[in-house]
Amino acid sequence: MAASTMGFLPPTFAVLSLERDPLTIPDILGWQGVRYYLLSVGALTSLALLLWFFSRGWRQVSRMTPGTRAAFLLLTLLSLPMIGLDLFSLARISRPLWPNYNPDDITGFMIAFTRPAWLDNLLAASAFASILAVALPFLINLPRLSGQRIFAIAKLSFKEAIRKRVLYAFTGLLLILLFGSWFIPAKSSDQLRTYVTVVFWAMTVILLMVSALLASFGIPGDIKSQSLFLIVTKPVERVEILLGRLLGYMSLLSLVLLVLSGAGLLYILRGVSPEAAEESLKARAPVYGRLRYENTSSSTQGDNVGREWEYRGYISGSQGASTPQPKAIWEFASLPAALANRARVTAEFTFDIYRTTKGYENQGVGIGMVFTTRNHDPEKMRVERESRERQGKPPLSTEELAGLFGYFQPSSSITFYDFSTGSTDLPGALFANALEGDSKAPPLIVTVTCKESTQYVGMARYDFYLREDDTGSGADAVRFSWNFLKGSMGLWLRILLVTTISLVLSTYLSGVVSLLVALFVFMLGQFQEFLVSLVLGRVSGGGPLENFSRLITNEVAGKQLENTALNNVLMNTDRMLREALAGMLNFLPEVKSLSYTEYVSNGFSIGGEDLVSNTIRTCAYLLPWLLLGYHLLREREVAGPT
Amino acid sequence: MAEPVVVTQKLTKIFLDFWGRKKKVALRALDFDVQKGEIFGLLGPNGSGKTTTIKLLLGLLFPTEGRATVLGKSTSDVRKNEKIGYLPEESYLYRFLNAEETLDFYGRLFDMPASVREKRSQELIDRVGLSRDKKRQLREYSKGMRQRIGLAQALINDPELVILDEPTSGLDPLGARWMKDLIRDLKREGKTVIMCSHRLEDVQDICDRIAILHEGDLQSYGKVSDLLRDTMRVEMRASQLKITPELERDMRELLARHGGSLDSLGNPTTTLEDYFLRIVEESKARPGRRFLPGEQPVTAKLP
Repeated sequence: MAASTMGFLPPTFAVLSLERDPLTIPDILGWQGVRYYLLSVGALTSLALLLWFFSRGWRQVSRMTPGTRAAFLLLTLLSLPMIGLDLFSLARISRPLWPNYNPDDITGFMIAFTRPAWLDNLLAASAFASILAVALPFLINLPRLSGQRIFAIAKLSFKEAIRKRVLYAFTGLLLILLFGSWFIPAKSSDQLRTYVTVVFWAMTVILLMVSALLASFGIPGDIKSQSLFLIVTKPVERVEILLGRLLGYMSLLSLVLLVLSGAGLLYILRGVSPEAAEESLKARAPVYGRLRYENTSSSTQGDNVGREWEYRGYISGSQGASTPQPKAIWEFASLPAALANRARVTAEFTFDIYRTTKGYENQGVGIGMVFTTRNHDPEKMRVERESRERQGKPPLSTEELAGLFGYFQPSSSITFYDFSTGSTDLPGALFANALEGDSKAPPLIVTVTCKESTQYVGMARYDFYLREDDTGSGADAVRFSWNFLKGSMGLWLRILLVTTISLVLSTYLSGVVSLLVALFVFMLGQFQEFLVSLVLGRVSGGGPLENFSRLITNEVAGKQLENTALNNVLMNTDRMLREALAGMLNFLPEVKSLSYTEYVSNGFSIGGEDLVSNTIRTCAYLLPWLLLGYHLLREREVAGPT
Repeated sequence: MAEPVVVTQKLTKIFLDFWGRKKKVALRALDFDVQKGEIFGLLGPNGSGKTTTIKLLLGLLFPTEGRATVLGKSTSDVRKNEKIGYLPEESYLYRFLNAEETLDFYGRLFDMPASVREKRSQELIDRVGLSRDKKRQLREYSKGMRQRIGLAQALINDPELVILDEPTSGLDPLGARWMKDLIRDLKREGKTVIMCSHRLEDVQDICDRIAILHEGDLQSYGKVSDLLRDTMRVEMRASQLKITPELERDMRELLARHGGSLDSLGNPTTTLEDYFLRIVEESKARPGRRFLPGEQPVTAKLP
């Protein structure tokens, strides 16, 4: 994806499913990440300030104490540049109607990084001032918050859920665990993968529904039954009610998640077939390299075999002496030092076969693999070999070659099959050699060739990796279990997301409406990838109105619409919707990146840094929601007319 | 001079609809004050603004115009709640908690230390007579029991100001009497009490001053004794007298000499409440007495 079109997606809330590496902690906590965050949140807080003034909120200013009033007015003054940018960005939604409009220029609401850095820094400072202005009442009350009160409300929420028998909802999962295997047919090598997927799916559905229900109906229920009257007439800050409820529900749900994860893990581990264990009962810690191709039609995408949805590039076998051999080459820019101390390091790969001839039944395709380090000198190796031949000495073993000359080629040929993971063991000495010297060159290069002239082998960057974890340590089940629990942590983050959003919405909306809106926001987060393609104009048939028109007029999606006045209105409205949607994308939760089911089911270790970075981002995302909840609950009259 | 605990100035509440249009004027420019240590009654028919006034004082509603201070603080300041106890009309307590848990929960909201909380809870449970039922969930309580535990939660913080919304509503005469006695006790302890009630006899019995509201307007406001005094009539009470025609004639002549006239002459009646309470007390003294349909009731012969 081009950098210019990625510009409007700040890393704080951005879409992980787009083709880029997961965000690291420095990405998020660095100035760039913080600035994105300030601008995104500041866009909302400055807009809120503007709306508040319009709704005669300024009358409340006169009721503030002199000190608070001065601070508030100063911060509001400093927020003016951000308010101006808000208005400008809102006006930009009508860009499709402006002259010289370029539909491909999607820079979106608020975040357009075509500005000079100093201007962005200035706006970030203004955004920070607007956040402070909105958070001022909360900050002033902060010293008054009492842990005991928050804990009391949390304990109440916990007891309420238990005594109202909410936990019964989880027995449904028990049924799935007890009888699930009757209904889940799986190939024996896929058994573990399928079980993990089913267990996580069931836990996700049940826990998210229960958390949304609990959080949506808690406060509205209290308002309806008027139990809240007795709480707000005590010296309780309203935000304590919000935090107490959140803490109570999250404690309960965390406990349930822990128990369900334990039960799910036992269910999975109790009968794993050897094939499934070999395939997935692991927690691989992969080390990836960068892929390029040689002697193919494209050095970045290899050969195209015409598979439209295939992301892999292909190399063919040798086409004769006159034609250079196509190669796929992985370059590892860095290697973990621990690999040099191992006796053996495993490399794994999952390639795809594209057959131009039928070949032999149940036989895979042979490939060649050569591993060379940055210290490898073919000339020195040749001289050594010839010298040994002359002296009648036995040739060097593959291990010796790896250690002395940074060269390794597996002695037996490698055959692989479709839809299965292949592996080969490398001598640790190769890595000791690779890590020597301080050359800028990549320490390890892997060259893959196809041995069969009539077949193609397809591969993508992440199809080949070295395993950082020690495959010889025999602790695969333990590592898998730990990884499973890390996967549950991803689910915990989604529960936190749903609970907080539902709870915040329920401070103003009724229980049913809060539930529906929270689930809608969550689903928008889930389908962010589709929304991005909608914004980028990559959905076939155009935007929603254009597609609706095609549906009515029975037009096919590929055909250009006629240039009529109505069609122009529809398409321009669609473009305006795209502009508005581009702005909205900054404020949707990133849900998909919090799902680690694929990692666990395929036996890949969930990176600790990824988990921490997702935790930081989720909490950062929820802070503005909590601020919204604080104001909604503070400004609302909990009683109505009698 | 007594210090005011509650002061309202032009306190107005107008309920608006979703579009900001006036839906109902619940309270119109209300001015009154409540002095420390008195029992103050808010009276009025349904929809007159009594409960709205209480909700405004508690910060459950926000005034549209005007202002009110409670214990010297604005109604929007939650710190005022540290010295307020509130008993709503209905029991809005969490029914899945038992009495002990309920008082512990509300005690925590006042940031009370555990030892103080426990001591105070036990005292209040004893005071409201729920010692035997303190482990039962409130969902199993009768209306009267819920009102008692509701009052206990209102007193958990030993408040200076106690606000009671229809405290005797739904209580049997025995419970109502108990509640009235307790309110009098609170006054004796130096607490200020604001109560609103439909039961005029209760208000008359226990309130020092009252305000009468009608359709959001303050109609009458002052000391109960002053407001109820009928200066056009004179009441005399005498004992050891039998009503005879001669007595009636003499009385008419006597009153005529002073320029008045006799409206009626008869024996005073007790209140139904007193009569009922006496019967119940008798029943407690002689358990087992039953009235069966068709039978003549046996007249009680008290020792």
